[in-house]
Amino acid sequence: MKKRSENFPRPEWERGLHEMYAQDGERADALVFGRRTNAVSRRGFLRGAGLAAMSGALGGAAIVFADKMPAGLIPAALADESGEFSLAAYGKRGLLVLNDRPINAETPPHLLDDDVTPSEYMFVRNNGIPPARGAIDASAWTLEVGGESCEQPRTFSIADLRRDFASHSLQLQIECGGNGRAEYNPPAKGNQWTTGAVSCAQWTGVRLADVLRACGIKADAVYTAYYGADSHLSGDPGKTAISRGVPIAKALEEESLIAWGVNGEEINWLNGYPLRLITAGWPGSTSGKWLRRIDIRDRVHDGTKMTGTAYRVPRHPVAAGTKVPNEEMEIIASMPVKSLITAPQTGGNHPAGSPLAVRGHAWAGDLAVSAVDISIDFGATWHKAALTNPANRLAWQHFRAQVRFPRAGYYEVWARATDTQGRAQPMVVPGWNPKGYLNNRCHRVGVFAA
Amino acid sequence: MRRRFFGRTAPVVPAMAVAVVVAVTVVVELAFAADATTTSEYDSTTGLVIAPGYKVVTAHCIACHSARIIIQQGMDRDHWRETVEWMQEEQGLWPIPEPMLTQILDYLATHYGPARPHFSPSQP
Repeated sequence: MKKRSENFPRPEWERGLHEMYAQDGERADALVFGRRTNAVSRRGFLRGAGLAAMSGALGGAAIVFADKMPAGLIPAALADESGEFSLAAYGKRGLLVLNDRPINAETPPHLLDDDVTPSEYMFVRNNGIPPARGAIDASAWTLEVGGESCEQPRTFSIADLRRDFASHSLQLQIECGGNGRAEYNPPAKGNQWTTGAVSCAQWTGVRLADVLRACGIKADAVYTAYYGADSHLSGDPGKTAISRGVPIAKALEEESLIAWGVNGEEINWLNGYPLRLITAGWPGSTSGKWLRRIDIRDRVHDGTKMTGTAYRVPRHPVAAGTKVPNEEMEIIASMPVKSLITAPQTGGNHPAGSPLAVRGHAWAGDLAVSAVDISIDFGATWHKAALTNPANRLAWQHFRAQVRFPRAGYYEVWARATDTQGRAQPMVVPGWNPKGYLNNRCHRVGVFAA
Repeated sequence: MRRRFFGRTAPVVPAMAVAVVVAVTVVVELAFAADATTTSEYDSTTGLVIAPGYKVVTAHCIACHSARIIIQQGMDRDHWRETVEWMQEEQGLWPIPEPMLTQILDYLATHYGPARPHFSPSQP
């Protein structure tokens, strides 16, 4: 099998670290690690800024003489790994980088094995350029709430949110609307996600509903709109990278959060530090990152990536390759039922006749999963897996099963989830759509029995 | 840098039947060997396949985004043209004069067309 790395020669992104440091080392310090140095000595880490990030990139090793380290110096341990740098300095591990500008990266299935996804394995999906890491001051960050259907526009600091509203921690699954796009034919435009644009972490924040109600929701309110601090790829300050939202009813659900924390830590920069929305079960693009403003709209939000073909699918099924006029498209709401096999890892070996543990996660957009079935004979027969209840609504459910391969040979383990309304994952790629959204085909992993 | 591509057969254009009036039917099968079965050469900076037009693409197409979004795509010429027009109308791309526009579209449709000779996702 051809490896992705053979397709993608060493990209700009992996050379980026060296170029950034070559052009302006102190700026690179700030951008990459959030590092600031003493203005006079140009050494050290001002109030510790960036030290943790740089240590993290070095595998957690302490920089013993950190106070002596000159500004603009790329750590030699990273400099030596010129070809392999990728997203390690950003607190990410093992992700497949689909694109480096803007940064988009997905997680291989076996790295999503944890019940609660660690930040380092959380996929990265950007439409624009995130605000420079070194320029973000969480203590000075503000969130504005306004819009046509807001009675009393207000501005909150993160400290205000923590003080004025009850905090909640919930396990919430987020999946990119385009996860699985790579399988559509004719190919659909966009990043060619396979299975890894999905995560379920424990998010901490306040309920979006509490904040919106505190600002007053007028009777004519229809939709929310978010605005983030990310900038448009062209660099044009007049353009918005992305500004989406959800219907008021979704925004007011108990699980819709304005979050500042994940898994007990601050949010990874690439996932929206210091503040983001979480509207789980809907396309990830509704969960705005680097959150600066929320409007309560008196109409369906018409911001960037709300119209045209973006995050929209045909109202009625179409044949593959059909040109669909914009007025025949509708906004994606809940994501469909889906599952992911996180063990075994695809392509591995296992002795014939001995039991093999199969496990993974299942989710169903706004709904829950009622069953997961496993097949080792290409879908001819299916066997029920054990399935947990979700930790809370909109959390991943976990499945486990044991399979035995009767004799030596190549097998595929397939998983098929069914939601609480009786809808199951298809075994083939579902309805083609112009932008390749909503592919919830059964996940399958290959195993060689010896 | 020279690289080989493994595990992919030549994309085959659906058999095109040509009826000849002189009582004989000739079936012509067109198979594009393209780059898929031969050795392709890739630009080590961008990852773009080195072929006529790649320098023009490099000059016009990677100011805002990287080439990695290009090399993931598989679109026909019309779709590529629409994409360029969309970027010009909405995304801040500058006007591209001829003959460069034609060179860009020819390059993209040939090497990053629906047959995707230079792309395969990582799944089984």
